[in-house]
Amino acid sequence: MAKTVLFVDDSPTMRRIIRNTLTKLGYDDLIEAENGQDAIEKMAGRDIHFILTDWNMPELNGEEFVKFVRNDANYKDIPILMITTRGMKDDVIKAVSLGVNGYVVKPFTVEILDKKIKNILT
Amino acid sequence: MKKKGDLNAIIAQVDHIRDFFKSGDDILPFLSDLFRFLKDMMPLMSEINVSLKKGTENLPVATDRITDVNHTTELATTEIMDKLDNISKKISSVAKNCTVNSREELESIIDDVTDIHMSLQFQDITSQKLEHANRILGAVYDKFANLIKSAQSMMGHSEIGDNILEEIIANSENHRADKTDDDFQARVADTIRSEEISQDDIDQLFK
Repeated sequence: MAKTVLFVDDSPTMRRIIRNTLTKLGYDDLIEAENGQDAIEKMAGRDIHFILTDWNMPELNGEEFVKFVRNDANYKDIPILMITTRGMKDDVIKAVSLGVNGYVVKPFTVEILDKKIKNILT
Repeated sequence: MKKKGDLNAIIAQVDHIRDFFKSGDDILPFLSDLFRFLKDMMPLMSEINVSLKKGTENLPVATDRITDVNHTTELATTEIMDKLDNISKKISSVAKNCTVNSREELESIIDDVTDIHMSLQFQDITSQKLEHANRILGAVYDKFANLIKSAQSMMGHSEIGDNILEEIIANSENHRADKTDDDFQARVADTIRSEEISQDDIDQLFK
């Protein structure tokens, strides 16, 4: 069964890189969103296997989006991997407290993303 | 008896008046010292005023340029990615009709193309850092604008406030004409540093 992946990033460059990387890793049912609000609209009624999300985004940022997911009965158990430029210790601690399952600081490689996705799915 | 009481009251009044003049004698040197201090402060205040106005005028230009840079690099990166995708497709298509050795070589070229693709993450990373700098500049601009507003609100409250502000503005105009502020430029060019965390340390937090 195809695994549906939602990835959220406001940068068109990053969305394209993530899309290409996920395709290379064998994920072909991909939903992409520009920010948290867009993601909430696009994930409605979909069976999402896991989520990759940026932190700094306009409208609804990664922090608020993760809070939404963790507080929604339909989505609360979806594994979330945060991919962000925010590499400060306090940021990571905050992300852990929000309930993300993994955290990657940009830039990442195909191998790192593969490993982190496997980690959040086990 | 009543006369003696009146006399005592008059003496007490005189003492009060003498005390008042005594205080005046003490206050006068303090006041003249305060005015000397204010006079000495004028050039400094004028310089602050010039720096504030100069910095405030330049900030919107700086933030606009940062936004332009982000936009330009994003367009350029998209163009490079389009080219890379085309190269990958062409190589894959050629690889289908090749010998095993040539195919392996072509696949290694595709891997190189993928590496170039991945390295283009720099565009998002740098643009986020520039946006962060932009937000800081915006905050500094607001602060400066508020300070200038506060200084202007001194006007009309008191005669001394009006005089001080007029003096500062007059001095500012003289400074503006002949002074360059290299220190300010050097300081705004400085970078912001903070504590970073390695990916290994991050992984430890999830164990």
